[in-house]
Amino acid sequence: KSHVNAGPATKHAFRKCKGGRISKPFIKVEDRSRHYRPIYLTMPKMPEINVKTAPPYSPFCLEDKDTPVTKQRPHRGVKASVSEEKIHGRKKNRDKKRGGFCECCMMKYNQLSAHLQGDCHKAFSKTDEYAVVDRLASALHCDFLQFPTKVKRRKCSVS
Amino acid sequence: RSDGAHMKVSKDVQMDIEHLCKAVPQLAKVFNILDKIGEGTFSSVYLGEALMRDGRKELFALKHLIPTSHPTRIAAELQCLTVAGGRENVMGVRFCFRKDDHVVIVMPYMEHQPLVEVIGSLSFAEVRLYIYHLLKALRHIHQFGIIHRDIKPNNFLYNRRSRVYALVDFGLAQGTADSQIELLKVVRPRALQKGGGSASQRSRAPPKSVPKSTSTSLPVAPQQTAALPPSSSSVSSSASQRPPVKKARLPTSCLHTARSKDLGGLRKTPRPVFGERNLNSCAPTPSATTPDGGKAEDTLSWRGSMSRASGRAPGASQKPAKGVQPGLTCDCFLTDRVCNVCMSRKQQVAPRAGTPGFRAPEVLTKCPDQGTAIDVWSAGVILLSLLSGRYPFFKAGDDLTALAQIMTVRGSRETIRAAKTFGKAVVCSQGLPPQDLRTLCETLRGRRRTSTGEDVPPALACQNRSPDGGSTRGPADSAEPTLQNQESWSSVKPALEAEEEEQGWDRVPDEAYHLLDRLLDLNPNSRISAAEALQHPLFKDL
Ligand SMILES: Nc1ncnc2c1ncn2[C@@H]1O[C@H](COP(=O)(O)OP(=O)(O)O)[C@@H](O)[C@H]1O
Ligand SMILES: [Mg+2]
Ligand SMILES: [Mg+2]
Ligand SMILES: [Zn+2]
Ligand SMILES: [Zn+2]
Repeated sequence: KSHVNAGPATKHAFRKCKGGRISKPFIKVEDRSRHYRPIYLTMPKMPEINVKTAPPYSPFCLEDKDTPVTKQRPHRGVKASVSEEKIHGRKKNRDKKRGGFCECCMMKYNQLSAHLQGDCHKAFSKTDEYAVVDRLASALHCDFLQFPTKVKRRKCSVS
Repeated sequence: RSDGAHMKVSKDVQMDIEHLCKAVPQLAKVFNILDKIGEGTFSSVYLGEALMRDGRKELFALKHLIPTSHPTRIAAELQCLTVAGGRENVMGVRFCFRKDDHVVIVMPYMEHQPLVEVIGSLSFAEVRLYIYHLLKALRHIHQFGIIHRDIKPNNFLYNRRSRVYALVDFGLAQGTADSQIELLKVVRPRALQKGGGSASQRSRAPPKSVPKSTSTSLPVAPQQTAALPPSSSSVSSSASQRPPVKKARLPTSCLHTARSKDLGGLRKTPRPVFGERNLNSCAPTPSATTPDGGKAEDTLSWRGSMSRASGRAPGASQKPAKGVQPGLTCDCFLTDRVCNVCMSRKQQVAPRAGTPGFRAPEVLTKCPDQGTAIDVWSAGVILLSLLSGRYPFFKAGDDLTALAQIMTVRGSRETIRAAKTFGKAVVCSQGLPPQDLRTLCETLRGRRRTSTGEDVPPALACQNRSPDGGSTRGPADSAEPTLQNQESWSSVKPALEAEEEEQGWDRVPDEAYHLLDRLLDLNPNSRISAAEALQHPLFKDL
């Protein structure tokens, strides 16, 4: 239910920030150089240490979705909860589909396995970019049996 | 499988194991893969058994990195393990397999218990040892100029019975300016520091004693030094709140060839690595929820950072609203307002890999200049957890909520004052007093009465939890515990107290809270270092 505004966070912050007073309670952070966009957050309420929460759980449990939202929704924070739903939805979705960002291809993907099969990624996987890994790996020696080649299935026969 | 010890694994796990063996066929020649023991955003960890030359069977942890990791990042993780690992409570590495984009790091297997499972039953003596050993690991890696960036219990393996400890997971590590880890070395180009104005160049005191030639197990020619992709960049206040920015800084088609060339060229000379300040606004961030209730986040923008070398981040260049000059000052500074002028400036970029609840204030506020002190803060959060019996302690989905929670513990004025020292202007709409750490921890442990004069019944509080596992009692209704609860609480209380006493929780020395206070110093410049913390009176007999 936190409404992250500005900065980093939400797209709509860019679109609709007309400026003005930040509704309370809030936190605002700005670089003292004043060269960067401030970041700020309006919260439904300031976090509180809630000693009533059950150990070993966080005393800030109330900050989470567990809270009955209805009771605490602030007058103006309606939009906030909407954006949070979106966030949660997106999160779940991503976990399920294993979407993410490929550092090799410098691109976002929606489905991990599909991305790894793609031409772009496959091409990368054959490049010598991996030499840096191999160089480090080659300094390691191990005494696993049948390493590096040799035996095939002897492990099963050992008592 | 020949071995009966590791009975049934689920179908899913079996399939994962098969996939892994198909992807890296060498593995199957050496290992009997028994189970999957860890699954995160950036890797899956398996338990494998191998037969050694001397006839013994040995267990290993096989960390299969997500194939979307950049090879330079993988290599950096491996180098941290090879150079600094294998001693001082830092996990070592035994081998590394690769086939194409699939890399598997083989480490000795260490049996361990998740902290969340044992936190409720740890004695104070165990807590003291735990934190001592964590600090030892930190001192060690900090001496090498490694900033771990993701210090949290899941990455510090703990075997309670055998009292063995191991720091793992250098997947998000960054180097200090004078890092001994070649692949973590960052040369910061001056050009990129522009606009960093206040971003105080004050550098943290370099590690007190740097073991000079200990890092030689890997002869890495300086000219081969590759650039580590900025291991932690994101400008979003919570990576999960924003999809990766689409704006392609390069054509979206496959560019490996071209890029390889570029990098090849760049690698010949120690090249600037845009590790910090240039991390970018265009960085998308994978993130996922980890079992310990925190998500590790990280992003990379290799290309983003490269393009940034020649100017501004592509992301940033698109943001500023038309017609407003980015550098203009306005009247909003330190007020409860924002305006078109300040909101149209570019976003500041600073490393923020890690997990929100463990991030130091300087990370949360995007201080571009971060050092080993960030790991010390995280260790402080862990000690706070251990002393209060609460894990995770902070629970926040975004950086500013995490900062607000820190303020509730350390005080808003104190936080604001500290932030000023590292170049940040913080405004909080409400004054939050700092807590006395002992009172706080003892209260949360249920050893003290709350301010309203009631006991906090730890065991019973659990019964009040809603079926969905959430804690449902808000401050309003919790002020009136039911009669029933009060009765049952008073009857179990003496037993609980006796148990607590046995565990030493009735006589936690002041030194413990003093150390906690020093680890959770809001100001990174005065925060105690891991090396200094090991000299703390709390550990005088160790
Ligand atoms: N050497 C090891 N021995 C036993 N378990 C390990 C070992 N290394 C990692 N693990 C388990 O796997 C989990 C994930 O490993 P980690 O290196 O932290 O990967 P990630 O980068 O995905 O978080 C750890 O939290 C731990 O439970
Ligand atoms: Mg980890
Ligand atoms: Mg990791
Ligand atoms: Zn890819
Ligand atoms: Zn303004």
